[in-house]
Parts: sequence; C-alpha cells; structure tokens
Amino acid sequence: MDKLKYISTESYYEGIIIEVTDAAVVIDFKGRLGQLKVPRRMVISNNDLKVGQQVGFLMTFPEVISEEIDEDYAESAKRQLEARRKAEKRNEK
Amino acid sequence: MSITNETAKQHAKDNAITCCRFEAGTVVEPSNLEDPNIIPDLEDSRLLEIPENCLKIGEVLGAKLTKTLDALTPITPDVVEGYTSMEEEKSVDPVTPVEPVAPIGNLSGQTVKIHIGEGRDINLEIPLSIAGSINQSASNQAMTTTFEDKAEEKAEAQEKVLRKLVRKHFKIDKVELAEETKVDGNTLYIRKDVCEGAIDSQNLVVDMKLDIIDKDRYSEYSETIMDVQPIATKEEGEIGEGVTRVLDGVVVIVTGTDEDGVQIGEFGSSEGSMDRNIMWGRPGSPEKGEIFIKTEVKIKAGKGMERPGPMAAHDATDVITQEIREALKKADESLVVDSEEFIQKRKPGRKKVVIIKEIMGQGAMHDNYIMPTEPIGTIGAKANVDLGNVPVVTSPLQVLDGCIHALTCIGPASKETSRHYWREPLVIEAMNDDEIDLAGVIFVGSPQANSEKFYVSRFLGMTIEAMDVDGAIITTEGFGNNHVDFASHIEQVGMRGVPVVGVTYSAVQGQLVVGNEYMDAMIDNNKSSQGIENEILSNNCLAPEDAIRAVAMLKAKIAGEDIKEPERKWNPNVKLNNVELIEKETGRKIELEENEQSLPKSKKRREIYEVEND
Repeated sequence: MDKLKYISTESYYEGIIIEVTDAAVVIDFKGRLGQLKVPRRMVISNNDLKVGQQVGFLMTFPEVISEEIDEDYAESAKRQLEARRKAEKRNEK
Repeated sequence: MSITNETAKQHAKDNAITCCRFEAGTVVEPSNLEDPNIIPDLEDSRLLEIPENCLKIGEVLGAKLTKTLDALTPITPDVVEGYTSMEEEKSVDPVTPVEPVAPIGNLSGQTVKIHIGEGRDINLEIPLSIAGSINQSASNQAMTTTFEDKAEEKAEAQEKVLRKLVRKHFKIDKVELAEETKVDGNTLYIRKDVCEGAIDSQNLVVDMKLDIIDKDRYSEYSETIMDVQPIATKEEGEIGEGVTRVLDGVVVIVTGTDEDGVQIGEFGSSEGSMDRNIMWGRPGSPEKGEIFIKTEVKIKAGKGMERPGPMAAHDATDVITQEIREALKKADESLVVDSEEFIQKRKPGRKKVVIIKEIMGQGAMHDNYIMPTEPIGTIGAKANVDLGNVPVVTSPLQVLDGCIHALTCIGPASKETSRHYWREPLVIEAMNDDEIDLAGVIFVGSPQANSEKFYVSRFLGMTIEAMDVDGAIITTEGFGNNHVDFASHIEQVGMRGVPVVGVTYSAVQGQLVVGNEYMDAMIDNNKSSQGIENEILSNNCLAPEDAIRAVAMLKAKIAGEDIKEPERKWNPNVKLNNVELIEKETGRKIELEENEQSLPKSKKRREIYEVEND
C-alpha cells in the first residue's frame, strides 16, 4: 500500500448488477464507466443477488506501482480474456 | 469531540489533548478532552503533533489550566498545575515477592501473630472473636486444597478414550501408466485408459487428461489448481476411526477449464508455472519432491461458473482416485513404511474447548463435500450448500481422516484445500494439548446473503449453548463477505459468556468488514511479506505457527488475562511479539513458515532486481 502516491483518491461509486452466476457477479458502473467482475463472496447483500440490483462502493484510481512486466501473469490472463471472448462470440451466433 | 467519564477511565494512559478552546483557570474534566480514538488520524494528517512530555488523561483530570489553550493542544506540564504524575507512582520500588507464609498453627492464649515481610500502608484490625476462629478457617483452606488436588487426580484418572484412528503409510517414489492399476513395491501403476470411465461418468465432462508430474516438471504450465488431495482409503471402520491407508510422496491435483479454455470457477485461478504458484509445505499444499497425479478436466462450454461444472470436475477426478484407492486396499501389508495413531480423548476437569470452522457456502467453487465414505472422496458425501450451510458437528478424527472434500477455489492464498483438513494444524494442536479438552469440530457454511448468514449463525449460537463449552476458536478461510458471518459467529459465542478467539487471514487486504465487542482476541494467518493476496497456493492459510498462537490466545482469554487492543494498521510485529511471548512462557520453539520470498522469481524480475542492486 505504501507504493501508492495518491493514496486518498477513494471516492464513492455506484453500479448495477448485470450478471449473477454461482461463482461471479458482474457490476456495470453507473455512467457506463466500465465493468467489474468479482467473486460472489466479495459482494455483501442482505438477500439473494439479482440482476438489476444497485450496489455502492468506494474505489481509488489504480496507479501503476512498478514498471516491471509480469509476463507469466499477463500471458495467462490474456489467454483467459481471449477464451472468454471466443465463448461470447459463439454464444452470439 | 469531548469524551465521557467511562472513556476517560479506559484511556487513562493515553495522551491528553484539548477538544476545544479553554480559558486559563479551567479545571480539566473528561468533557475538555479529545477522543483518544481519533488522535492517530489527526497525527497522520499532520493536524497534530504530540510532544514527548504530553501528559496522560489520568494525570490531568482535576488539574487546572494555567494558560488558555486552543482546540487540539496537547496538555504539557508547563500549561497546567496540580496534575498527578503517573510516573511518580511508577518510581515506587517494586515489592519483592515474599516467601509464602505457612498457615497459622495452634493459637496460644489471646495473641494473634501476624508477620508481614515487606509492605506499605497495611492496616490490620481484627476483632478477637474472629481472630479466635482463624485456626478453623485456615484448616478449612487446607482441606479445600487437598480436595482440589484429589479432584484433579480423579479427573486425570477419568480421561476417556473415545476412539482411535490408525494411519498406515505406503511410500511411493514412482508413478507409471500401465495395463492395470496397482501398488507394487514403491511404484504406483495407473491404468492407461482410466480417463475413459471418468469422462463417461459425468455428463458435463467432455474430455480429461491425466498427467504425472515429478519434480523435474514443476516449472511447467498448469491450468488452475482446483484442489490438492491425499490418496487414502479405509482398511477398516468408517471415516474417523479404524484404520486408514495413505500413499506418501504422491498427491492428486484437480485442474480444469471449459471447452473454450476458460478456467473453472474463473476466480482465484492459479494457472501458470507450478513452482511459482505453490507455497510448498503448507498443510494444504504439496511438499517439494512429491509426484502430482494431475487431472485436467474439460467441461462443457460456459458451465464453469455454475455449481454442477466444478462438481463434475471433482467427481470425474474422484473416479480415478477411487480406482487407486481400490488398488491401495489390495496392497501388501509388508509395504507399510510407517504407522501413526491418533487418539481422541475426552479430558474431564480440563477446559472444554470447541473448534468452529467456517467454510465457504456461497455457490460454485465456494462449497465443500462433507462426510464421504472414503477419505477425501465424493461418493456418499453431501455438499454443505445443499445442507443449508447449517452447523455440522464432527469429531477431530473425522477431520483428520478426510471428512471434508474441498470444492473451493483454492487459488487465493487463503483458501483451504482438501489436504489442509487432512493435516489441519489447529485440530492437531488442540487435540494434543493436555491443558484443554477438545470436544469436537463444528463446520458451518458461509452463505451468500446476510439474511441466511444470520440464520445459520443463530443455530451455531444454540449449538454452543447446549455444549456448555469453556472456550471456542473460530476460523474462516478467504476474505470478503464471509467476514460478516465470521463476526456474527464470534458474537453468538461471545454473548453466551464463552471466551472466543477468531482466526482469519486479515493483514492489509483482508481487513475485517465488521466487528463487535467480542472480537478482541484475533489471530491473523497472513504470511505474505506485504500483507496482501498474492495468488500463491496456501500461502496465507492456517499453519502450525498460527495454531499454537490461537490455542495460547484462547488459554490466556479463558484465564482472564488482558489482551492488548489491536494497532490501527496491520503491523507484522504484533505476531512476532506474541510468538516470542509464547516461546518464553512455554519454552517451546515455534517455527515460522517461509513465505513467497522463498519461491523462484521470474527471469525478468530477477534481471530488474539485480540491475537495481548494482
């Protein structure tokens, strides 16, 4: 955490749940500012999660903390991204 | 913001800072002082700087200001008169302990002899009528002592063995594919086409590969590791008693993706080269040098995010493991290299303690199979999500005999694998501690919605009430909304007057989302150097060092010792201090686990690292 230079940039955001599976929740930031996909256990709710519910959270701006490139991580994450895109495309057809 | 009398008492040793502007001549009361809880924030934001000679709250109460002070001014000796210095009190010579005095024997005549070796301000006023009966009460005391001694002896004599579990170890140093699955000498042969049956057994499984990884191939790429499982089977009896056979030197590793290559469960996936993603030697992880029987299960596209998907991957893998178990049952007795005996005892007269393990129950990859017929198996087991996540009581031996088959995504460094339960350090520590009486291990699931969390938590409270325990340790794995019920469980136990210790990964990233007054004794499982989630398998899981701290903390709490308040920010030194204290008190050396710093770094990282050091 000490690596952040702008540590107190956290501000309040709201979003809408647009997808719920047994494992994950996709949240669309209000104002079409992006999407966030998190495991279910990262979302706190009083009742069962439903598509369309609104969520609120604090977030800071991500800051680049190191110029170092983590090739292994990036490669496998990219492979995942491509696999998911492929799956989405096939579902559209 | 001023404070109340109660707060002033609690914080008598904290710095005294004015909360508003006060004129000279004001007599200092709690209402003139700032809340000590917010002082660190003020210091952080540099609104306030506290000089070394700042007086404490307990010192300034009742004193008179000699100068007019602005808001947020530390009160120092030069601006106040008539304060009582706490340091003066400290300067009193410590009283040296005096040898215990023998009880007064026969009284002669009308004299009462009282000898005080060293003392201050001692007033004794004893009416003769009472002094006359001293003889009697003194002997009463002596009698009570003997009675207690006897009671203790009796209790130890009553120690009751409930059940025993024997683990027979078979050493494997080579795994090969062959025509037939069998254990021959130190070699495990697995049938070449074993995957076919496994694929056919599950509708959702479209393909499956079996790979045998020895230590020379640790650096290869692997899909996300979904579980690490020992291979064990019952020779005699049910889970938790009788005889279990286990293969040493080899573990089953479940991995998988869907047809599109999307990792099953998607989150906390640990795909990548194995030697950079596995923290060796943790209770839940492989040991360096072990051979992995790794399955790579491919399930139908898009099914990785729904419960049946990951379950199918586990079930299919278990078809293969079951075939190895059958072969292990037939293995020759002469191949047993080692035999361990676990004894479950109840120890009346000792403090009765229960371990509560909160396990994930939010859905796919947040689930566990409970009580299969074979150790860490799937057949005969029920998922805790299907059981409604309500508390389930098991014996410590059932836990160590593989009654939990973990379906959780174990990628995150703080999740517990099946092997973790098989070697659960807290259960072993509590079972072997002769000062406590481990009554059982309760598993309670963590559902998604808060309403359901409180539903299961109330059951846990009633279970504890009915068990009449003297203490409880509650653990949880991972971090996130499971901390909501973790806090609620601690409250349910604490509000019944039962001392309770909480164990979780917390540090920087897993900070607790809620708290309550019973959460004053907490153990942090963090081992990563930065206090963060670093996707290294089992890195931040409960290890023997944490188990020792948890049991020591519970004993301290049962004994009514003070537990210091936590620091505002994560400070790894708190743990080291406690470890030192325990080592000093018990004379036992606590071995601290290595962390991710012991793993190989990527070539790139090494180059940059070295360049920086030149």
